[in-house]
Amino acid sequence: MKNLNQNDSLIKRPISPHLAIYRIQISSTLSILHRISGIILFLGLFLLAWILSFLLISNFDDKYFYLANAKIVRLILIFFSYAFFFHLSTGVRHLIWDFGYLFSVKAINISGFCALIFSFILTFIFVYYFIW
Amino acid sequence: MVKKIKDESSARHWIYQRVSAILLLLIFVIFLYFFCSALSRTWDKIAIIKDPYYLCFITLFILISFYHAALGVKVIIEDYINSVRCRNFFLQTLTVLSTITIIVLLCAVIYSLIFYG
Repeated sequence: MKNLNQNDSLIKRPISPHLAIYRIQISSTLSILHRISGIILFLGLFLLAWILSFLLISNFDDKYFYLANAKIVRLILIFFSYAFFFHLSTGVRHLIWDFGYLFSVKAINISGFCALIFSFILTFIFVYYFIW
Repeated sequence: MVKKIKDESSARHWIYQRVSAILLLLIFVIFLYFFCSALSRTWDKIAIIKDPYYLCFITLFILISFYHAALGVKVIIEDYINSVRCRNFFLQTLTVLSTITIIVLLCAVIYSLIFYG
């Protein structure tokens, strides 16, 4: 059965209800947040690469560092730090699954909460020592 | 008997995503270990990046991160964009922007190493 119409878009067929009927669970929430944090980090990587290139070419001129002390810059860094450690913690959880461990429902829920707590702890330590 | 994965691009993508993730984990841990010993809480010390070893390390981290991120964003584009033309446009844009950024970063690193030591 052909799924594309003449304009190369999908033919709209009725689908089963999904998001509106399923209870929100830690597994689904962390999964979509892992994707969202990945997108945020991808955008942050672009920024980081261009800013680093600029700083390298200007030989880390001191006049640019006064900007680094601004509160808004520190808040942005905290935001990206949390995205990084969240993505790292949930990514490690995915890697553990890839090796074949922690597949039971109980283990998935416990590992989900552990990943969440771990991400907060890592972010707090990183922000305390490097940013604040 | 181990079957060689040659033409199965989705399996290859899956493996490369995991390999780059593990490499990033290792690099990040090593990076933190060396960086913690050198960095204080003042922003002046951020110029430690000028040291060639730290600079190469951070560049390597950014390059592998870019590869890992590009693989991930490719999957997201394929999942959420239904129109084939639109999907191809975004994939091409992703490739072009990533390539330009990596080239600029590598040129800046080489420039810094040559002219500023």
